[in-house]
Amino acid sequence: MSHLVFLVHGMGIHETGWESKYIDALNAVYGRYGFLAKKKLTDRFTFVPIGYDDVFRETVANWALGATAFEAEAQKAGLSSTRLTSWLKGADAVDNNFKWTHAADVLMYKLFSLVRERVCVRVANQMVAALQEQIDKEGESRWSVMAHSLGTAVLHDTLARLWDKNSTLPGRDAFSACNTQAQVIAMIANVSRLLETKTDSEPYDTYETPVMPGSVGQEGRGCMYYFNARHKLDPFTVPKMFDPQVWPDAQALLEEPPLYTHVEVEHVHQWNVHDIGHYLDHPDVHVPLLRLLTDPTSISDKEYAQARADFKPFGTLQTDAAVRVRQKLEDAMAAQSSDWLVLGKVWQAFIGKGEKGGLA
Amino acid sequence: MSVLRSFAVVTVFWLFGTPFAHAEASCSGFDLSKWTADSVRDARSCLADFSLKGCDAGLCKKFEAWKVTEGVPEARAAGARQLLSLVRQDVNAMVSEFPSASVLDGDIKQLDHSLEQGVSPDRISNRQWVYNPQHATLSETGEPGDQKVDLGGLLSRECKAVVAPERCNVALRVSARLRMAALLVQAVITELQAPSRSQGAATIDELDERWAVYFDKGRFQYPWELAVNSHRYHRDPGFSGPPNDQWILLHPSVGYRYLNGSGKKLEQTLLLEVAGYYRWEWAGAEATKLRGGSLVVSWADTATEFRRGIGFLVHMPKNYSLGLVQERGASGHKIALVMSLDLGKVVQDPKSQKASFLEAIR
Repeated sequence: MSHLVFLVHGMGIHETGWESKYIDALNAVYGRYGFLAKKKLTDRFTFVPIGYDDVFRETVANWALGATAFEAEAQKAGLSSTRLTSWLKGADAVDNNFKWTHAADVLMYKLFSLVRERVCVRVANQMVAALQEQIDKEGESRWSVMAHSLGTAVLHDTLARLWDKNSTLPGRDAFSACNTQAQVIAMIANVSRLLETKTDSEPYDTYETPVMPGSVGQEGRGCMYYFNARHKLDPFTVPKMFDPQVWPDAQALLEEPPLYTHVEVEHVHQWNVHDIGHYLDHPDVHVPLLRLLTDPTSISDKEYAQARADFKPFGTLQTDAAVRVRQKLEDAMAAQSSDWLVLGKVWQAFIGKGEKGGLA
Repeated sequence: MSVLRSFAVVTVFWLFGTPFAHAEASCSGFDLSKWTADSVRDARSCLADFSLKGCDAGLCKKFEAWKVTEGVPEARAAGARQLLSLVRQDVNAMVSEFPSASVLDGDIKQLDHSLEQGVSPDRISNRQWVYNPQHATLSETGEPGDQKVDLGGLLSRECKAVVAPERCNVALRVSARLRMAALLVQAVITELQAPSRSQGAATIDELDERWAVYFDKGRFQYPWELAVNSHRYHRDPGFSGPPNDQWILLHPSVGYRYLNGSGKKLEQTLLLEVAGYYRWEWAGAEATKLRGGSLVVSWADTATEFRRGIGFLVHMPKNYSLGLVQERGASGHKIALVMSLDLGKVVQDPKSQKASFLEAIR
């Protein structure tokens, strides 16, 4: 069976082929388990990259082009005061331009409902097209999704719209939560609550929408299993942390495995602990995830225990270096009560240092 | 001699495998009677990976034949019920071997009844037939005390002990037949939902195209304009399309001015749309009947003087605008014809924009 696994990227520039980083990271841990490795990762799953980065890039590029053209003509005309547009010049540069290549994505998504809606429709169109193709070929849809960072918010908002019970979209029943239920929704470095919109026209509270786990085909439950991974030193996951209690209900947590799994890790193998590969490397992240994506027997308890025992919390870093990195990360930490604006300062302290570290 | 004998034994084992070792699971193809597994996880893996893709079994062929038949929804539903009846026969044949199969039989019967009553396929969940790999179950509902088809329990019992591998194979084959039956039922419902699903997919695709038109081909917005228009945006529940109008605010641009009697005829000018409004109508994914206007101030540095103006622009399709400004300068008041180029586009094709303007003023 082609089990579709959608990959939804985070903030920053994602050029063609970006998904290979995600697949390689997953493949690296997948190959550690003998039973799973008998079948190639890409034979077991069909990965479908879901991109939306071009929406931000085109918008920013238009701003930069408009500002540049206007400034040039203004100077010819002897007008010196062009403060209206000068701050937009160079916004389209991709090197060492974190403010525009990363931060602007989040801000545009959060602040501009037009951009948010455009991104969600773009994402939905890609997902629905892939599901349609799968159903046409195989008569069923079997899919999961793994989203990272900003992608978790984008994914949540997209699925919340798709499964909105008040939607007037023609054919919405065929795409209702109980008809297109995902097997697993995996949120890595989940910021969906940080960026959620709870207004009358966008009533998409991350704890209330159908983007929640439930039994097979349960009304208003968009997935069978919801997996949430957070790194304790990842500052993006701290403000308005996604950490629901007794969610979606007590029954779901009594299931084996629980329908909602929340894992927290704190290993430090590199400065950029927000990186998806860094997350997936930890057995407490990849073992439950791979089990949910396949079968609980695919990685035995013994193998899991061995993987945990072999896992080095500091990786190849020397202890002193790891302690220094950890200290800096703790210094840059935002508070749980901080809102999304606080992340601007965190970005300066945290991401600015890791700009070439394969962020998001 | 003993070395040769050892070599021969090793060679035989290498070529044919040790007779005491477990064989690898074999579960490809749709002749389920040939499926084998010798461990619980091999068997569960076979079930998890099972799909109807390329299925050439008799029921699959019947399904494919029904799938391509055309007809009114009632006729399609009648055909679906015939298929379900055949699937039920197959499931019933397994009840004696595996009594839990009767749960699946009951579910298919209920589905058949719904179709008979004319319940819309869109209102029927196809997920009930989904295999849950975490439990290796079918017909799971999550309700307390639900009756599910517990294939995992069967496989755990029959495949745990290696003393009777054939029992594991039998359990796997029964499980696979039930899995296939559930997949066929799911495929039937999914097919009945196809018109609705296609309509939903087409709507989302059209919305996506409209948004592309709004952002990529519509008038370009500076951040402050995007903020204002986002604030004004009224969306529908679920997915929503782009608005059909746009406010323009402090929008700088470059244009050309044409002054009757001017020596150079056509000169560049800077324009600032102080405030404006632009609207259109959607026809499918196309924006039509585009119209709007802006109040505008202008600056022109001519060869002899610096002139400021105030006036209006009328927005035309294809990202250009025509208008009149009253200019003031050392040579007095004059009315100039101006054309504004949407800067987000002018940098893409300035020559054609200028040509458009020249054509417009001729």
